[in-house]
Amino acid sequence: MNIKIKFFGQHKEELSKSELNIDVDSNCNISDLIKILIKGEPKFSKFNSYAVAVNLNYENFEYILKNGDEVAIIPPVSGG
Amino acid sequence: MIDITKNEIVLNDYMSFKNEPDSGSLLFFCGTTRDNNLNKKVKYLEYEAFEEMALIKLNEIRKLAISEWNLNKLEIIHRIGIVDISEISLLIIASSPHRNESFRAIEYVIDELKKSVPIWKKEFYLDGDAWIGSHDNPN
Repeated sequence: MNIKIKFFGQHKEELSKSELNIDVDSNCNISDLIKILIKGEPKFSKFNSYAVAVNLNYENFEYILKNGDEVAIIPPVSGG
Repeated sequence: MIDITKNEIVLNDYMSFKNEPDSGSLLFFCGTTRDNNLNKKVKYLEYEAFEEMALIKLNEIRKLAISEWNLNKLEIIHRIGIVDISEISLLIIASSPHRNESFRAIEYVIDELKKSVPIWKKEFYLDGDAWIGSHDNPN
């Protein structure tokens, strides 16, 4: 399955990219995706606090991904 | 109305209308750029948003606030990009029959915005910069 990952703020800055496409096996959840992400982008391992949204909705790390999902990694928000 | 804009927020642009006929309170809240934070001199801020999702979350917050406090009007405008010192980054306008509802609604909107709306602020200092709200900040 192909998953698009979007990065923002400090993540985007640290990785020097705003998005990435990753191929994963079926039954892959968000936690698995993060492990795969860190293998390809070791710099991401320094980040510990973030939320994840799938197709514009916040989801937990057990969420099972579907082909074509868009996963946004959300650093701690600080609007206002 | 909900808006995320790269343009400067000019308060006068929003002050020309009359209040709703059945309202007795019209409240404006402006969040502005302060020139200091944690004993550091701040030169300016830069905001970034995941706009598509931020608009959805702001709309959810707005609908809930209107329903909870029986508001006649609630507008939320957030600026992104560079916001200089003293300029407005956030404008919230609430209109309600009585003042308590507008005050509480505005407090709710700001609190929720800071919890769940994907907007990020970076502070620029004389000697560097830092993303705000992060425990992972390398700076």
